Amino acid sequence: MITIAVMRKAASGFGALCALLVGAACSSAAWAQVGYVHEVSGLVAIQKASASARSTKAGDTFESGTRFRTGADGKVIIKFADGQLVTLGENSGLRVGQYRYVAGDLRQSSSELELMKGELRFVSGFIATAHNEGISIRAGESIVSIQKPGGADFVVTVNPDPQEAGFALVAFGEISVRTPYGPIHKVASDQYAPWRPGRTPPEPVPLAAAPAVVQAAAGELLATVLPAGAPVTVALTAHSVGASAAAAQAELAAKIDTRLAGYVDAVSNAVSMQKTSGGSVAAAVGTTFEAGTTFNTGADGRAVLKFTDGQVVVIGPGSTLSIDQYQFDPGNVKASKSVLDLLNGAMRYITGSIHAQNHEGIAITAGASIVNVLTTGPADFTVVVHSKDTDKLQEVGVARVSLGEIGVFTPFGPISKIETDRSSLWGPKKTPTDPIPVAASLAVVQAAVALQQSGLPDNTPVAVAPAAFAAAAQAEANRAQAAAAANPENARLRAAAQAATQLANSTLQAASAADEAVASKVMTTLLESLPSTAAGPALAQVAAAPVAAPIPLVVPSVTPSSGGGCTGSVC
Amino acid sequence: MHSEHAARRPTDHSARAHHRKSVEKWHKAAYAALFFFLAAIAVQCARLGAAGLFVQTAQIELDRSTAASRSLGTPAIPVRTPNIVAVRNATHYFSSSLDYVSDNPWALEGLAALDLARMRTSKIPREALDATRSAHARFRQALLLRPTSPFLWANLALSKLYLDEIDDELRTALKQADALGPWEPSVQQTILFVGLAAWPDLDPETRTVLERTLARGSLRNRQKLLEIAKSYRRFDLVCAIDKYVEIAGPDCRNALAPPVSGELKKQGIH
Repeated sequence: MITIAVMRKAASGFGALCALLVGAACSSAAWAQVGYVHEVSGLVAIQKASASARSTKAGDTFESGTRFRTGADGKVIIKFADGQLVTLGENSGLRVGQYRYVAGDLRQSSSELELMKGELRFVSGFIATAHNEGISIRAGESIVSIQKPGGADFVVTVNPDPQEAGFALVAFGEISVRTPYGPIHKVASDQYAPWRPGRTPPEPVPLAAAPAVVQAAAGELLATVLPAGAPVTVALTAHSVGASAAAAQAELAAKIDTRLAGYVDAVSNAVSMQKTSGGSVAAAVGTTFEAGTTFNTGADGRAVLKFTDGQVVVIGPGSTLSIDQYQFDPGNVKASKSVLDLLNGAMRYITGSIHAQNHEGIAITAGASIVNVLTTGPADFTVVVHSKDTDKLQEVGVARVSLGEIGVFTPFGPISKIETDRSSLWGPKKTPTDPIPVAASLAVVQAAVALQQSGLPDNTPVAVAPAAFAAAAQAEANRAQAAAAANPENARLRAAAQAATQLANSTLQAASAADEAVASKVMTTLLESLPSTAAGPALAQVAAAPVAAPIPLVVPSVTPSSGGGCTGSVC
Repeated sequence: MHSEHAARRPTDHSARAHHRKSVEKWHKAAYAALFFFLAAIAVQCARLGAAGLFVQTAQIELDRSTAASRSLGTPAIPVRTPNIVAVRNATHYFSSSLDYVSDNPWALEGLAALDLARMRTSKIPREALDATRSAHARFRQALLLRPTSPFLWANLALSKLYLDEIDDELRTALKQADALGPWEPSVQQTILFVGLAAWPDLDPETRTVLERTLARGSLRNRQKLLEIAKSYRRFDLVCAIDKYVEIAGPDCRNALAPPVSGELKKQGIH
C-alpha cells in the first residue's frame, strides 16, 4: 500500500512537473512572440535572431531582434500584441528591438523599432496611446519620439547613403525628430518635415507643399488599409491570419493559373511585350503573360518563356511571336490548347504537357508555314522565318530538329518529315529541300543553332505565380552577386548579395513545392484517364504514357552570348 | 495738225488699251493676293477659333465636374478634383486644341494643370515626378507666348516646389507673379503657399515680396491668406499686420505669447 501511495505521489508530482514545464514552455513561447505578419506583397525577407533570412508570409510570428527586409516591390504589414501596426515600404530594412507589453500595466510596456533604411508607417497601439514615452523609434541616425499620449500615425523615410537624408510626415498626432543635423521640435498632423545633410532641418510645412515624390510615396503608405488596432493574442491571431491568407492565395492561384499562360524566365537586351489590354511594356524576368500577348525582340534581344504546362519557347533576335491562344487546366489537360504564331524571326520550341497528352491541342505557325509535331513524345525544334516586305510568298524559312520529328507545310510545298538532328530550308521559287544533316546545312541553319543555349528551365508544369516570383528573385540575386563581385571590399554589397541569394533559394523552394502540386495534379488526371486493365490501372502504363518528361537540354556546341544586359537565370 | 492728230490717235489708243490691260492684270494679281491673304487670315482665324473653342469646352467640362465635387487641398489652395471622365474629356479637348494651334498657351496651361492634378492623385513616386516635370515643361512653354500672365508664373513656381527645386527659377517666378498680378487673389494665395514652403531658401528680396503680398492680401483676401499662413504656423508674419490680427486675435495672442515655465522646461530651455 505504501509503495502504491508513494508511486501515486510520485506520479502526481511528475504530472505537476510536466504541467509546469509545458506551461513554462507555452508562456515562454507566448512571451517570445511579440507580433505577427499581417500582410505581405512582393519580396519580403524575415530574419529571426538566430536563423538565416527567408521569405515571409502572412501569419508568421516574430520576436524581439527580428529583422525584416523588403525588395523593390515589397511591402509588409506587421502587427504587435498591443495593436501597434507597422507598414514597411519597398527597399526597406527594419529591426524589431525590445518589446514588452504588459496589458495590466502599460507604464511597464515599451516598444523599440529601428528603421535601417527605406520607409515605414507607424500606427500606435495601446502602449503609445497610453504611454508615449515607452515608444522608441530610430530611423538611421535620427530618433523619432511621439510627443503626446493619445496615439499617432506617421510615415518616416530614411536613406543612409551616402549621408543620411530623410523626412517625417504625420497623418495624426504629433512627433519630434532628433536628426544628425539638428532637432525638429514638432511635426503635427498633415505636416511634412525633411532633413538633409549639411543644413539645419527647416520648420515643417503642410503635406500639400511636399515634393511630388514624397506626396506619392507617403500617399501610397497612408492609403494602405490596415487591420484594427486592438490588442491581439499573437499566436491565435497569427494562426487565423495565416490560414485565411493561405486559403485566399490558393483561391487566387487557382484563378490566376488558369488565366496566366506563363512567365518570362530569362531576357537578354531589348524585349517588349504587347498585352491585349493595350500598351507595350519591357519584358523582365518574372513578368507573367497571358494569351493574346505578343513578344517583340530587338536586333540583339532574346527571351526564354516558360508556359504553365511546361512548354518552353526561346525567342531569337529580331523576332515577333504572338501567343494567339493558350489554355491549360492541370485537371483537364485534354481540353487544353496552345496556339503560337511566329510572325517573323527565330523560335525554339520545346513541348510540354499539352503536347504530351493532347497532341491536337498544339498549333504552331511560322510566317505562312504550319509546323506539325509528328511525334507524341517530347520534341525540341527551332524554326526561323523571314518574310520580305510582309509578302508571304517571299518567305524564307529553316526548321531544325534537335529531338522528335516535325512536318512543315510551307507556301512552296510540304516537308513531310524532319527527323532528329536534321534540318530543312524553304524559300521562293524553290521546292523545299530534303532534310539534310545539320552539319552540312547552310549558314542560315547554323544561325538557328544560336538558340540552342544551355541552362533552360525544364519542361515540367509549373505554378506560374510562384515560379515567376522565384525567377525574379533569382535574377535579383544574380545582380546583387555581380555587384558584390565587382566591389569585393564593400561589406554592405556582400551582405545584400547574401540576403538576396538566401531569399532566392527560399522562393525557389516555395516554387518547387507549388510546381510539384501542379505536376501531381497532371499525373492524377492522367492516371484517371487511363483505361483499367485486368490488373488495374498499372503503373507500368503510366511510365510508358506520354507524360512530359524533362528533356536533357544541354547542347554543348553553342554557349549563350555573355554580357549584353542578360538578367535571366541562364546568365 | 489734224493729220498729225489723226496719225497719232491709233497709237494712243493702243497704248491706252495696253495700259488698261496692264492695270487690269495688276488689279487681278492684287485681288488674287488679297483673296489669298484674306483666305489665309480666315483659315488662321478659324484655327484659332477652333483651338479656343476646344479650350473653352475643356474648361466648362472641368468646371462642371469640379462644382459637383468637394475640393481636397488646403482650404486656401483649392485642389480641383474633377472626376476621371471629365479629366479624360478635358485632356482630349486640350489636345485637340493643340492639334489646331500647336503652341496654344491656354491649352498648354490647361494640360499642365491636369498634370498637377494627376500628380496629386498618384501613389507612384516615379509617375508623380513625371507628371510634375510635364506640368513644369508646359508652364514654361506657355510662358514663352504669354510672359505677362501672373497665373502662369505662379503655377510655374508651384511646379518647381513640387519638383523640390528651390532655385533662381522659382524665386524669379514668385517675383514675376507678384509684379504682374499683385491684386489677383489666386495669385496671392499661390505666391504665399509656395513662398512659405521655400522660405528658408528665399533671398531677402523675395521674402519682402511675400510680406508685401500678405499686406496687399489683407485688404481683400485676408481669410484665405491667414489660413495658409496658419498652416505654416507663420504667425510672426500675419500677426504683424493689423488686418489679420482683427480676425486671428486669439491665434496671434497664443502664438506670440511667451511659453509658460513648464513648457520651457519640457522643451529643454532653462
